[in-house]
Amino acid sequence: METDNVKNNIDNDKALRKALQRPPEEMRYPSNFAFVTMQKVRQEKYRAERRRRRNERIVLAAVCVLSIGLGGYMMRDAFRSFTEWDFGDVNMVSVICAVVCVTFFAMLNGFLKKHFTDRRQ
Amino acid sequence: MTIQEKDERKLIASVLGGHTDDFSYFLERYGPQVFSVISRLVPVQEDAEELAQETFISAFTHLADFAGQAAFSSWLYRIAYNKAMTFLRSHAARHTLRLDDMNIEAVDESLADEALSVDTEERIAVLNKAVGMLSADERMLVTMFYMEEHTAREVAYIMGITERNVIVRLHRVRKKLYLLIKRMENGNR
Repeated sequence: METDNVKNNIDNDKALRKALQRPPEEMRYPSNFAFVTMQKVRQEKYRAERRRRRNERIVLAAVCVLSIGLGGYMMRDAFRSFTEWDFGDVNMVSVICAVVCVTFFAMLNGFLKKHFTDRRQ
Repeated sequence: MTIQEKDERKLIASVLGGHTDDFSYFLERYGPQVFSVISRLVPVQEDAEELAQETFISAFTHLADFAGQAAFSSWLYRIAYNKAMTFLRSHAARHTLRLDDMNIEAVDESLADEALSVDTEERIAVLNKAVGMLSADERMLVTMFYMEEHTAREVAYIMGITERNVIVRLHRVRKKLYLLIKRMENGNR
């Protein structure tokens, strides 16, 4: 009922509607508004991306420190006996295999990172 | 859901998927309207421009929060309104004319009807000035309702008040405008 009343009023209030169609004096919509705002939006996206990466690094560093600490604590007995270890028993083939594996995974990590970062941008 | 709303949903999904450039559609489509609404609340060119830009940047950063409970334009206006009100609160508020509540309530609805329907050039000019004397809330209300032609429900969503409150305030603003017109026209004589 009241909504209908307001609707009737809006139809009658021609003068008010026309007055509102006129922009306030000396106010004009800038012609380059969309362009300038879009630049700011891109900058905001870049900043947000940087914030996200920084936060990721902080979390990663914290996880690494905790893992190393935990690993050290769990392997404390092994470390204690490390000094008594005879390095003559180490098989060179297994060392080479380990180096190759680490190199392979490091390269794969680099490739995937580059590939997906490029696609996202 | 209209075709335009469906297309906008697709564009929103695309922007959220990383295609930032698709956001330019919303700037082209709603930029003039958002600026127009803000310029009614903050009638200083540089401030209005900055607030309109902040509105769109805020919309972009919170795009994932747009749940679609209202039209995208209403959501944008809601952000614009909040930005403008925060700005007005933090800066020295513009002087708005205070009228006695008793005087406003005493005005007959039919007088306001008549005063707001006569669309002569002189009346329109007086009304334009009278709108500038309203408080920011009241200006937002009449701008949304008369200029943007939103429904009372949409205005309620944008301004964060109830639908009933919108209707009560609209009646009051119409009476206030009548008193302002009368005062200005009497002052000119």
